[in-house]
Amino acid sequence: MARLGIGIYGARSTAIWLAATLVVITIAICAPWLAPCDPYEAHLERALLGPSREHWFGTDEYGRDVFSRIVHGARISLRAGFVSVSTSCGIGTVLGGLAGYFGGKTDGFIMRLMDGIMAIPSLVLAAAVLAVLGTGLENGITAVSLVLIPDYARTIRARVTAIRNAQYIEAARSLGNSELRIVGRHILPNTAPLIITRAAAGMSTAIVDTAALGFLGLGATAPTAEWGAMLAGARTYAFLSPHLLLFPGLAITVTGLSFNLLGDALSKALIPPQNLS
Amino acid sequence: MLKYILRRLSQIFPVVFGVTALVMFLLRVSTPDPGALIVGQRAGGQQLTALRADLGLDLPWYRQFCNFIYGVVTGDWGQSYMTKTPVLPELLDRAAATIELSLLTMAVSLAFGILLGTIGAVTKNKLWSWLIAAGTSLGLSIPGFGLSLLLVTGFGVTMRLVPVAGRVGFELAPTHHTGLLVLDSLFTRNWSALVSVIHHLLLPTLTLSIPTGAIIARITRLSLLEVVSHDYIRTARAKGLRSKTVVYKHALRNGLPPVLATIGIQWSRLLSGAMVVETVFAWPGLGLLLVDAVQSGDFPIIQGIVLITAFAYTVVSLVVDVLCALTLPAVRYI
Repeated sequence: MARLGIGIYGARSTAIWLAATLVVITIAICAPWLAPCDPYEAHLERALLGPSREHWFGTDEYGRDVFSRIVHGARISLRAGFVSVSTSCGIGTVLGGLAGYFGGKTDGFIMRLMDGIMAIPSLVLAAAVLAVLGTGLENGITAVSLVLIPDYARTIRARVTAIRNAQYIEAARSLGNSELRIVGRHILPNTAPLIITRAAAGMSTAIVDTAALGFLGLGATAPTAEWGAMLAGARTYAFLSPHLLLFPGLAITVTGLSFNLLGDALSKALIPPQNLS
Repeated sequence: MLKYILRRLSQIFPVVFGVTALVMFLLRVSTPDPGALIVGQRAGGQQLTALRADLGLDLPWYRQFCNFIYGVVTGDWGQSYMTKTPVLPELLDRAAATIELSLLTMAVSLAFGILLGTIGAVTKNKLWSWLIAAGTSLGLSIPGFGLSLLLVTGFGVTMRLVPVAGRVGFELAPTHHTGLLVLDSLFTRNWSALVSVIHHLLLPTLTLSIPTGAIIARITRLSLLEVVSHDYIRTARAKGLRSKTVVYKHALRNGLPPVLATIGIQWSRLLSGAMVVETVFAWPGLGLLLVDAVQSGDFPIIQGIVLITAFAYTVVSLVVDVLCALTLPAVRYI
């Protein structure tokens, strides 16, 4: 932590939101032990029960325990978040780094491509990609990864462009360091705080977008214990059993909020104010 | 100024061209042979060949691409696989519903976002400033579908205060002029329709305005905080100007253009959110059409929606940039 330069300022809120996200991650990892019931086991005789001591979050239309489904849903959502953020952040960093470091035509080409992707609203593009790949959870994750790339590419490019002309890079070059060493030892480490910050906030976007696709019926579908798909199924019973809407909605909101605020806190702690704009 | 507009226009062509190419690429990858899809499985080979020639599918790819671009420019956007009707009129009809919703949302979010962001930046009251910061974070993270379902269940289903589906009561639909029902009912002086239209707009607008307003409030706050730290603001205060004058005449004048410059991006985010909100409220706009089209594999419709939203984004950002350049001369030279 000290090496990344976490200051006193922002350290406390970072700790709080890091703890919150760690709780969600722990829930996801320990889902099989935490969940009291099998998330897919139907018991029609106890369908649509409200929250009780036996079923904390009530039961759904097939009598499945909602609490168990939410806990298992954390696995799906977090995996979706990690996979799409690492994919898009990886590709985006490489593209943004290339554009920023080489500038000129490379920069022009990559950034126009990113502009083109950014011109299409993210869910519209994700839906179009799903139309080609076929709907489903895995393809939904791929679509979300693709949609998130320009965000990283633009941020990293701006940072690398700013660093590239810094004096210490010039100094490193004049000492005879190779390009590869300059990129690896000087430029990449200097973008690390930015990447970490954006990745944390990106988790929130990725999780919410994957859930949105599930909700629209384009991502994860019916029996899967995925929060978005659970919400979509609960719409029919909104009047009878509002708890079916409440708990998955809360789960998505709390998870999204924690990662989002972790990103905010990290950016305060890791990035000196003069680099924020 | 004219030079700036021309330069800005020259920048959007590669983007529009790129999106069109991307869309055509997607279409070709997904359906290498749309002919078979259109005439159906049982069609004979002869019929298929005739149709391919008719649609220009037997031409080399670059000729097809030129034809596609020509079609897009002249308003021939192809035919829906499902309804067999031309895509463009259908899209424009649906777009009116989305435009009505998103225009209203944008207006509401700008008004509230700028107001709250300004209060958050200039207030000395710690509690207010904290409440606004926390509220914007919550507004940003709360997913649109969760929020809309909550509001539909609360206000629509349980309390029965507002309608939960559609744009206007069945019996009240005003005569079609512009497709924007608020304007249509105003033109025809159909007051009961106007009331019904506004009633139907309330919840979807509220749902969409919360995230958009939150992000505008956050950007306004950050932008103003940056502006307020400048020397000229200190000078203005030092020479004894009232703090209202400092905020409205000096800080906002310089702090708002960066906020307005993001309207293009906000619009794009708004359209994403509209997809979800339209599904919840059965709002017959582009989002609902897109979800149906993806499920039925109706590629011409999907491609049309991608194009139309990308064009809309490009045009909106162009207009916003030009407006910013008009108010802040420095922008022209960036």
